[in-house]
Amino acid sequence: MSGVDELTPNEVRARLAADAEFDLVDIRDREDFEDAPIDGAENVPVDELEAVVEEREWADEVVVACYVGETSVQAARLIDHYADDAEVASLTGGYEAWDDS
Amino acid sequence: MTGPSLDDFVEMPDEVDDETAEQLADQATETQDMTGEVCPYPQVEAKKAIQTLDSGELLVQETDHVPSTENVPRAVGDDADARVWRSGSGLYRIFLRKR
Repeated sequence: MSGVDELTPNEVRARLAADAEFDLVDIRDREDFEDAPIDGAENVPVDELEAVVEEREWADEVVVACYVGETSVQAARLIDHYADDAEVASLTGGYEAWDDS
Repeated sequence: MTGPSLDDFVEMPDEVDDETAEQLADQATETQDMTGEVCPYPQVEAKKAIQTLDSGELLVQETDHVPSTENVPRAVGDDADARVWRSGSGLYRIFLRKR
C-alpha cells in the first residue's frame, strides 16, 4: 500500500494565499467542523466520504484534514485510489496543528 | 461504491479469529465501548486507559470506526501489543496488551 504525501499547515496556507486550485477536504464530523472550521475547507465527514469518493470530480491536488492527522492519511489513500492523476496529501497534525500554527 | 472501500486502506494490526477473540474478551481488564465515536476520542481514551494498567493486563476497545483499528494501536505505540478482531458486520474489537 503506497503512502501519501503530507503538507504542513503553513504549506496549505501558502496555497490558499496564492489562490491555488485544490480541494481542501476536512473529514471531521459536522459538529467538530462547525465548532472549529479550517478556513477554505469543505466538510466531508469520513463516514460520508465513501459514498462520494468514486463519482466526485477531484481537483488536480487534494489535501485531506482531520483532527490530528491520522484518519486523514487513510482517507487520502482512499481518495488517491479514485482520483485519477491527482496529487493527494494529508494535512500534518490535522486541525490541532492548524490551530496551533 | 464498487471498488475498494476505506477498509482496504487501513493498515490494521494482526487479526485474531472468533474463538481467540472470545478468549481475549474474557481476559479483559477494561473494556471501552467506542462505537459511534471517531478520532481523536478513541485514541485519547485508549492512551489514558493504558496508563492505568499493569504489565500484561488487557484493554479491549470496541469500535465501528474502521480507521481506529490503525490509529488506536499507533496512539499507544510501544506501550502495548495490538491485535484486532473483525466481526464481519462492521464491529471491531481492538485488543491492547500492556507491555
